[in-house]
Amino acid sequence: MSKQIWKCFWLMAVLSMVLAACGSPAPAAPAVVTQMVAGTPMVVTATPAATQSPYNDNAPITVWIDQPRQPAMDAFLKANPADASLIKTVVVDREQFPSKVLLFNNTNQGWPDVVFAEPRLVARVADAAHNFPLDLTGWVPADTINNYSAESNCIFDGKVYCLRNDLAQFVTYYNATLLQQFGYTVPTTWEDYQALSDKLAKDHPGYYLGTFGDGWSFLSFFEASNCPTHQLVDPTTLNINVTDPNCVRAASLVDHMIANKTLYNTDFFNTDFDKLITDNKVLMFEGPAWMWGSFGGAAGDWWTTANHQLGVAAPFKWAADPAPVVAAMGGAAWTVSRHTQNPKLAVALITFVTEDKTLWTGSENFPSYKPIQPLWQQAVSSNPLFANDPYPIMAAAADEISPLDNWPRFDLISPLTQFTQDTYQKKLTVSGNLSEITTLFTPLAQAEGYNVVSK
Amino acid sequence: MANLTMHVEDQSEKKVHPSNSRRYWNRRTGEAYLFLLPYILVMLAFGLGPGIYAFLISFADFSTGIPRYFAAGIKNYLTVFKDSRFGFTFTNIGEFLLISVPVGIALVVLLALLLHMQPGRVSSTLRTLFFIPGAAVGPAVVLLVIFMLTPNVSPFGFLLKSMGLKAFNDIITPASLPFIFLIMGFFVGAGMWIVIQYGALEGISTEVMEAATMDGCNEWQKALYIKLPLIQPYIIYQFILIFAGNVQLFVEPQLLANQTYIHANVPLVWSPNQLAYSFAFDLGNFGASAALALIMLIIGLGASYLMVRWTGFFNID
Repeated sequence: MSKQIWKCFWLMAVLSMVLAACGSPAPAAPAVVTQMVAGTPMVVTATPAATQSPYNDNAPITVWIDQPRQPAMDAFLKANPADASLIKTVVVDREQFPSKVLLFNNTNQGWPDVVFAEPRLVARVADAAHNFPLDLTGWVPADTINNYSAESNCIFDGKVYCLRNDLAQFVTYYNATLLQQFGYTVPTTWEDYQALSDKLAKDHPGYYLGTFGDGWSFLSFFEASNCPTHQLVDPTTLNINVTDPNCVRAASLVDHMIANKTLYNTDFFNTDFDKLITDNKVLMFEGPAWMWGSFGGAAGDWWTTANHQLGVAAPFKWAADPAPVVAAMGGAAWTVSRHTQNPKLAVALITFVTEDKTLWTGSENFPSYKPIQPLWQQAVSSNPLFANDPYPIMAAAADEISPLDNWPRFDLISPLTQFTQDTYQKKLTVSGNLSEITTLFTPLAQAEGYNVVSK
Repeated sequence: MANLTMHVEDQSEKKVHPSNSRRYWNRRTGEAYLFLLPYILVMLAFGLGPGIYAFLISFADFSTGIPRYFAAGIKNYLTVFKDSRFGFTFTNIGEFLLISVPVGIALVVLLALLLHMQPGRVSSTLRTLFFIPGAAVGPAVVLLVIFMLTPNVSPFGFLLKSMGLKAFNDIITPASLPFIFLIMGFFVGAGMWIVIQYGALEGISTEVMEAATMDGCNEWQKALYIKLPLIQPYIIYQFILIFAGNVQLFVEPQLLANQTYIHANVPLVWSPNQLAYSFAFDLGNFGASAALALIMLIIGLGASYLMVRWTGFFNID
């Protein structure tokens, strides 16, 4: 028996040595120059970065999208019928994208060529183990790259790994009819917002000023306060400090409004909260720029509202801060694989779907590509849904997205949802329970190889 | 898992006596092996093969994304033990096993004994009814349970509300999770085991039962003192398979922690199998993932071995 086992061991040892001998060739070092990209000087490759496969302008490409991106693909195929046979479109759950890349790395084949995903997911495939995205510098002219708002989320360690599709900056949505009826004005600071909550609780109990019950709603308060729950100091260092005064002020605001019952306790799309919005029980809340589409746009009709009732106002700022800082809920991008054989077609596709005028007119997503923003403005400003012109507010907020929107390489939403619900279930205050975030984030950060600091 | 070991032993035993192999390969056993062939092939491809591969890569280094075999030594095993989620997930699964295995077995055996007391149309209809939910697979059951436990849409919403549970998030708490998974598992698996245990009860010789009746046993005494000891081997069999199944809990916590549609107080990584998944697909460390999978295998094998030794399951009377 034991002899047999040893034989097995030897067999495996020999097998593994054979496999280990098949190494991968080292990539050639590209020439580098300094250039201005997205307003900051940085080192970029002067020549297009080499892909890992030989170029072939006739090679087919696989494109991973979600269902709402299908019209964009159709538009590209219509505009470029010659390339239609080369493009294979697959609708995927992009949360699986980083894990799928690892599988393909193991089998050394099968990578998609173009992927639609948020910069936070691109960040996760940009590390050494995934090693997925192609540096787009050189493939896309620097002037064009400069034309994308919030492109900095796509730049990792000086490399342009994606082109922004749309932005999801938070703005204030309010019920204009209700606001007028109650005789209130939209607050401009978080302090005024808190004061309004006391007034509303006293005069009109049963009405709400927002919700706090999942990771996204958490970020809408805490990122807007510059609270360092997940601050990337440098690519390998993560600052988690919930004792920072910026966290304390946000927590006491939330606690105050939970106590006076003007904050609901679920996520934005919970059926109970949906009903409150549709029943005109929600006076205002902070939501991302695309969220107006949920009032009967192409994204579906989660919430219904009368025409000219939905008001949009500037996101709140803290009195002590010079300007508002806003969180973002999504806001995706297009990334190209370094394994692609046909980078020319891949780049043509991602520039088309982010820049095409007819495609973006009437979209509910706020376009990142600056030259098409005026067109988008025309469509959105004439939409009868709104009580006022939302465009100037959304455009201003687009430049105020927090640096905290650069996520570390782990999911923030799940642990933060756990935190909010745990706080409610244990009947604690948010201020009293903030340290749980450190407990939840630290192991995740350490497992990803971050050096966790608290400063 | 239990199946796997038995076959490993069989094979090694066969190899120990190569000189005898011709004697084994006569016409009768040859046909038997022919019938076994499809199963053996599938088992090699999907059971033993991946197992050996897992053993191989548990010593491989994945820090560059491409496996370097035998470069890691036992580093992957240390990574698993040192991960702060290791203790957490094993505490969770331990709690879940402590609740789900005894409760599952006790309820199934009780229901089977009850059904067997009054054989007839009612009993066989009930058996079929119990069996039907087994048609629902893991993910569908998770959806069903979410539906049932959301007070505003559940048909039992009034019951939940009368207990002070107004929202889904009042019900899904860290403390309630093992019970939620127990409900999911029992709903799907119980029917099959009731049928198996009922079959075992049918196998009891009528003479024994008649003798018990003559001696003045009532139905409860028969169930407790005659039937229960006689179906003991089947209960042990159920223990081994339920333990091996439940220790691998994955789908239910993974789906409940989904943040796109469900916003509940469920940790992203709750069970050891999820931790293995997280090692592989969040961190790209397939080596640590394989190491943890092997640790799980050893736990499953160990528990089954102890149970078999302790009860003398394979002893022939």
